[in-house]
Amino acid sequence: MKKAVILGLALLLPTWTARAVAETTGAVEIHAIAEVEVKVKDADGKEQLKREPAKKVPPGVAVIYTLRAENKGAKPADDVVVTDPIPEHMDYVDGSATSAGARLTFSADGGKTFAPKEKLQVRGKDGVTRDANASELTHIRWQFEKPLAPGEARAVEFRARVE
Amino acid sequence: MFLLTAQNAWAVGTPAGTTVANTATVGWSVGPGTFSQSGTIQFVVDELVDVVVTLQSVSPVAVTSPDTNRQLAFLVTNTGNGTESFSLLLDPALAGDQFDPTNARLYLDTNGSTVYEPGVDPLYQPGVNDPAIAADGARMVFALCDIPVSRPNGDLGNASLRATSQTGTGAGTIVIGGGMGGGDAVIGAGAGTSVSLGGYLVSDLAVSIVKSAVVADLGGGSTPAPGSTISYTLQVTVGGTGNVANLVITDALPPFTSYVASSLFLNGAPLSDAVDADAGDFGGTTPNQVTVTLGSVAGGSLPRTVRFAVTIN
Repeated sequence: MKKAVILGLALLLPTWTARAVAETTGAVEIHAIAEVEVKVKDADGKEQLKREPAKKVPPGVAVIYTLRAENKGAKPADDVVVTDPIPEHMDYVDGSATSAGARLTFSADGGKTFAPKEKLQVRGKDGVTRDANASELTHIRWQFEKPLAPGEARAVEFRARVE
Repeated sequence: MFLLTAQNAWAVGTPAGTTVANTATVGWSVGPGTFSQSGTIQFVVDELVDVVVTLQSVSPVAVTSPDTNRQLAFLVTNTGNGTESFSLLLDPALAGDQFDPTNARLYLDTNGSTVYEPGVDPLYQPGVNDPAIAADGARMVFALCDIPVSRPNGDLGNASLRATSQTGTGAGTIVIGGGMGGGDAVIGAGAGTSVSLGGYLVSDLAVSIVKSAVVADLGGGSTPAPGSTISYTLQVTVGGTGNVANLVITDALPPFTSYVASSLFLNGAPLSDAVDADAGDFGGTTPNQVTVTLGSVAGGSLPRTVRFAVTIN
């Protein structure tokens, strides 16, 4: 008898705990998709660009990454920051990141420091400091100025080419 | 002769079949608490098929007519991102040159050398030993040809080497299941095939000497008889490409003749009979022989003329 009561409590517990956690944290979820642009002919025979999920991509082709942050919680989420390390074997396509009301910065030192692209400097192999080029970038960061309201979603995107 | 420098071919980097994963993180705060979550998306790198053929020999190769087993070295580079086999085609019957090299054969290098090694490098047999080359890898291939007879200096004979991927051709073509491990393969911008050509230039330096004689007898006629004078003219012409480094003309007197003193001339200017600073002598360098040193003579330059006279004994 005792056992059954305890079991019953245990079953109840997770749901109660989860709801409480959600109310405290305001869970923001992030979803990433990867797409490629393909040329298709529309009904008039004109060439259009269409996005398709990236499944198998050969070297040299650019992939469009879309990152979508959604506030699934009951409270507004402040200081929302999306950080994305540029994947290995990929080179960032210069100028391709959208900012969607966020402060856009980049890192070229593995995520230690971030700065706007035009202020980002690296030390070349010859010891001379110069502007970082697109293929040297390691991370992209979006810092949203406005809080993310409950149920609100924001998407940012950028392109990177397969090496 | 002009120099064709070998051009580098850069392979595309990421190996076919590599998984590329992107993990993005979102951080936020609610009140005093900070939180973060991640999301990942990934795709697989497709195989890209492409090839570049580059001539490694200095072209054109200077040859004589006829000639045998003259070599052109080609480098076949796999510029795709997966191992690929390539068919090779050597074509000596090209238009736009003056002759077709003959007996064209192809040999596959086996030990990284830049010259064909008989007995070491196998003969290429299409469909039997098509070379398989790894991504970023390259294979040297030797074309050996013969040069036909009677081709004059300056004639050019070209031969081309084409390498074609066995997976497929046509830029952007997707070959379902043609990739490594059974995935798809995409043919790259080079369309999966590449051709390069080299040439053989007939440039044998040939020295030709045309000798003519004018006879004057004592009576004012032209009968060769004792006492008659024979004036010899030697016209020396150098043909071909390059320079003959030290051209020396020698002419022994015919039997039963005697040299007419001080009759030696080079290009109309007199040369002393003695061995001295000028270009020629009679009997000094070699008894009974005219010797004229012309020095370095360039192929295609104006002919030199040597004159001397003898009397018939």
